[in-house]
Amino acid sequence: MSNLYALNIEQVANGIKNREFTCEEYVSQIIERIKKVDKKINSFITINDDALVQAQQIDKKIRSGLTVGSLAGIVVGVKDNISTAGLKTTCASKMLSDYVPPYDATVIKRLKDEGAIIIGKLNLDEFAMGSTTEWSSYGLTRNPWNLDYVCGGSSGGSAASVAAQLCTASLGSDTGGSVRCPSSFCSVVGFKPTYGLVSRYGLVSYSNSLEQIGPIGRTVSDVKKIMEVISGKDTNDNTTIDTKNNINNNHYDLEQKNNQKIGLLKELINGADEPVYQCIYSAIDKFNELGFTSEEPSLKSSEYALASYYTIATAEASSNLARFDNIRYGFELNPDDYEWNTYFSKARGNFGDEVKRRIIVGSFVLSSGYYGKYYLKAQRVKDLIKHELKNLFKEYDLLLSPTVPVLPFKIGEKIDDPLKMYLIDINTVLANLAGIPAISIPIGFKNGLPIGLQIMANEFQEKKLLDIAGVLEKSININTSYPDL
Amino acid sequence: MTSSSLPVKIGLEIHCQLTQLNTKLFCSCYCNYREKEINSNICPICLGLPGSLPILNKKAVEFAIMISKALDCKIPELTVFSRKNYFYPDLPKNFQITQYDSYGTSTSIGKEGSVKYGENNKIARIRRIQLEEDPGRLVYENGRMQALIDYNRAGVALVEIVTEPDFTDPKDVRTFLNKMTSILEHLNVCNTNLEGSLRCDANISIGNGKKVEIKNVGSFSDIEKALTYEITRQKTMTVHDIEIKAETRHWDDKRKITKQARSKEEEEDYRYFPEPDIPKVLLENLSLIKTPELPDERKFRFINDYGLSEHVSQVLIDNKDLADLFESAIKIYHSPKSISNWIVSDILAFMEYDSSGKKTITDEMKINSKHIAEIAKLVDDNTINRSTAKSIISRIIKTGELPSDIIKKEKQMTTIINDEKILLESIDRIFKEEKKATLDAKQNPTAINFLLGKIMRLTKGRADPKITTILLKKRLDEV
Amino acid sequence: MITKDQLKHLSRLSKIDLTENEFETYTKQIEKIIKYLDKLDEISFEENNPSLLLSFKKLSELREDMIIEPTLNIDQIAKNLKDKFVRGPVMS
Repeated sequence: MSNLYALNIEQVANGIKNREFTCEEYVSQIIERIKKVDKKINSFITINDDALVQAQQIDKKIRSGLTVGSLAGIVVGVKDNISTAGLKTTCASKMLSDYVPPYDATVIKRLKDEGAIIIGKLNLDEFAMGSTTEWSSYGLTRNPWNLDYVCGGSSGGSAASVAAQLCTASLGSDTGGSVRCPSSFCSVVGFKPTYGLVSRYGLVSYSNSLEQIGPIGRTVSDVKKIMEVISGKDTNDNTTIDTKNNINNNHYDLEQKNNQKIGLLKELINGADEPVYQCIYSAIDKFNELGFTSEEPSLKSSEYALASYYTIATAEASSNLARFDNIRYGFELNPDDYEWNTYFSKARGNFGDEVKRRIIVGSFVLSSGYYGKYYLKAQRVKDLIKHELKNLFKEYDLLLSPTVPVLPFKIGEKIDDPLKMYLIDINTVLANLAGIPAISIPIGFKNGLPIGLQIMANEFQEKKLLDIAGVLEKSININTSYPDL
Repeated sequence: MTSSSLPVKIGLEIHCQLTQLNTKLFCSCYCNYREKEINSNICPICLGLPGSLPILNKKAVEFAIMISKALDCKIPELTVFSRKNYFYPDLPKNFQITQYDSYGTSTSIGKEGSVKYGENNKIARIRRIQLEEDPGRLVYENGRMQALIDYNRAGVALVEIVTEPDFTDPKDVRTFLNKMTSILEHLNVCNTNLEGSLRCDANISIGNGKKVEIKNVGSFSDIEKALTYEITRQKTMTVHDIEIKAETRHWDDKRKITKQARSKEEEEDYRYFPEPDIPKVLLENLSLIKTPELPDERKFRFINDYGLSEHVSQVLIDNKDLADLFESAIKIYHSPKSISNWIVSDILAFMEYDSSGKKTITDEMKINSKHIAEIAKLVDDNTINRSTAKSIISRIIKTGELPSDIIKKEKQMTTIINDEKILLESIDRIFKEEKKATLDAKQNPTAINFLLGKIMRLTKGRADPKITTILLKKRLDEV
Repeated sequence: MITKDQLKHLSRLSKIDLTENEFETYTKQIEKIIKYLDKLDEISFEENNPSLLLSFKKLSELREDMIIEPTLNIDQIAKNLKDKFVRGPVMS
């Protein structure tokens, strides 16, 4: 069988279990395709040499009639800021160019326990700070739909590799939109869970009170399957929550509910470029056809969301990245004869520009005299946003917006203006600040460039969100094409 | 203004390791890092590996609550952890997870408490108690200043106790610290005998002038010396109109002076903010956390229930080991006054000073409550005299032999009875009890041994055998 | 207004070496960013309005004080060791 790399999770899982093809065949094809295609887009940093052997082991287990997991043999790519034991984890930074973790992140362990095969580590903006993957010290990742354009970020490699069919699904991390933005730019499905639903143990922290690991796939169903495996309370992460509202519970019955209402956030749709908002309105029409009523409510506090986000995120980042002093792990630099302040400062000079800027801004907003004006204020705004969204969810089942207010843009276009770059996140940061689940699904193209729709639900309403998103996905039905690479 | 009229203000910052925990504050590595091979007591969390997350130890919080209660502190409904951000090679994350009260909020584990100490029940106010983690250990390579770091200790739970600057006399500081040691020991949260388990920094100002911090003081007796020296230094400077700088000074034990610590570049800005990885902790059902008997309660009990003197009681509770020894000894032989005296006047003399300046029963001392109970009884029964008892104690401490065994081996230890009058009384008594044997002995000289044996039994082996035999024969003739 | 001196102070506080070039470029860029963050001044809150949404963990839900035998080998992580100590730079 050929083109096994184009199949979705269910098709691969069943195909392998039913012996229509072997896992080895499937994985070999993917490895071949990576060799052929990835030099065009540069989505991978490291490939797992052991993948084929693991594939053979899955085949062996199946032949012997042993039970295998729900994701047995499925090829998953992992953003390179998630710890994988024995496999280099660089965060796309010179600071960690030699670092090989001695432990697996909880999400990795859970995937492996279900038989998934980690195919390799995917490119990102350094330490997850960026919106285009142009800040990677391993070179940028190109948009598979048009190689002159950015693929989004910071989980650029995760989205591009799935779009280019170099892996069946991938994991990214989303602090301010880092899973949803590249998913929108690459025409794939990307999901950010409710804060506390997925363990962050093993995720190299950028902004711990805002980020979550999230899956990226070509369909909502694939994303849901990954979520079923990785989500759930973890004793290794004190911020994970026990919830009865998890993915596996009672199927959310669309038919039963009447008077379903969606809200397209007014400020966010008004901030979008024309090709984007036109596409969004077409999607709203589809929702109406499905029986939803729609309105355009206002979210007043959204005006301050980006300022709040960048205050909190840079503050936490400045502290989280302090541990990178190259003493215990990092890269080659002999400490002999260096005075310790000098050594630290010199080693840390190897951070990229964007990381350095954010650390400095973060130190500033926490510093004596400014803490109240910036950090404390930002926390109050965060609370306010959460409060206002909660109130909206009393009236609306789902809240919508364009994932990104603009179309994907050319490589290098915004790189010289950090603030312009930050504005890409303006729609996505809301869900991180409020801790609510949000998904981006592809809804169309303009001039060959993808557009994504963001759908948000109240916290722990994963089930509802994914099920409705799945229904919409079917009715829009655009994912029949793949980038020609 | 004369120097003697300048008011002295001393405040203390005590760091107490919660040595009685099994694990560290945020991970499940061993709390007891001493004697472990270098860098063998580590995990991703305490080594600060990327992606690791702190997991709070329930028992550590409970211990901290017990300390708060014992020091009469107010305990908040919610307790919160914060990050103190600074760089140092012994700090795996280059921040310390601690507790910090800011902007009018008060979320450390305890505040506004007080402790009574000393003969006159002076009161020291406690400003704040907080939970935090210990850094790793930095040693220097072979005379050069190259850092060698051992992370075995990194992440061990500490409780920091901050007092108000209520102290005016270094002697009081010493007494207070002894009281604190006793409280912590009685709570069974810290084994203060372990090296480095209890550390104290002080800050001192005179005449409401600038505050000087004194760090790096090894023992509590050194703190008294350091403070005494510092008061003199500051008073001298003031009299000569020299400005006292706000600074940190270290205690130089060799030269017995305080000296300026290497100056930091500038005042450190710690950029405190709440730790996002640890949720706020709701402290409920605090009444379920019971504190063990505190020193003051125990002392009260010793005085009232056992009739001990104030002084003896104080000595016992100042050294928890001795108080424990006392209570188990009186269970065996209930003579509180004599047992306590034996402990306080004799055992104490054999105890060594540990690193904190406190006397301690070391592992080498093989004496236990059984030994002491026996000694007390033997002396009370007049089986041995006091000087014999003292020499026995010294031997017991080395060998662990029971006093009764020692006496059996060394006959001459017992108080020999050679008083003829007493011996004759014993002989007559035996004659009454053993009429048949007595008659036998008159005929048969060998039967004398039987009677002699009886007399020895009666006198607990103390009758002088030679004299007794002579008297025995004499008496037999008379009967 | 972010001055170059402020930036120097912040780079010292964060222990990050910056080149002259970087000082020049970053000062302007960071100033722009901070100006955007000043947007937070436009909104005000009542003084003693506590956090509207409180999430917490109960004391009883915390980790039990049970040892997990450490298995991490320092050789796996740190490359610069001496007699099992991690070797660092020179202390001043």
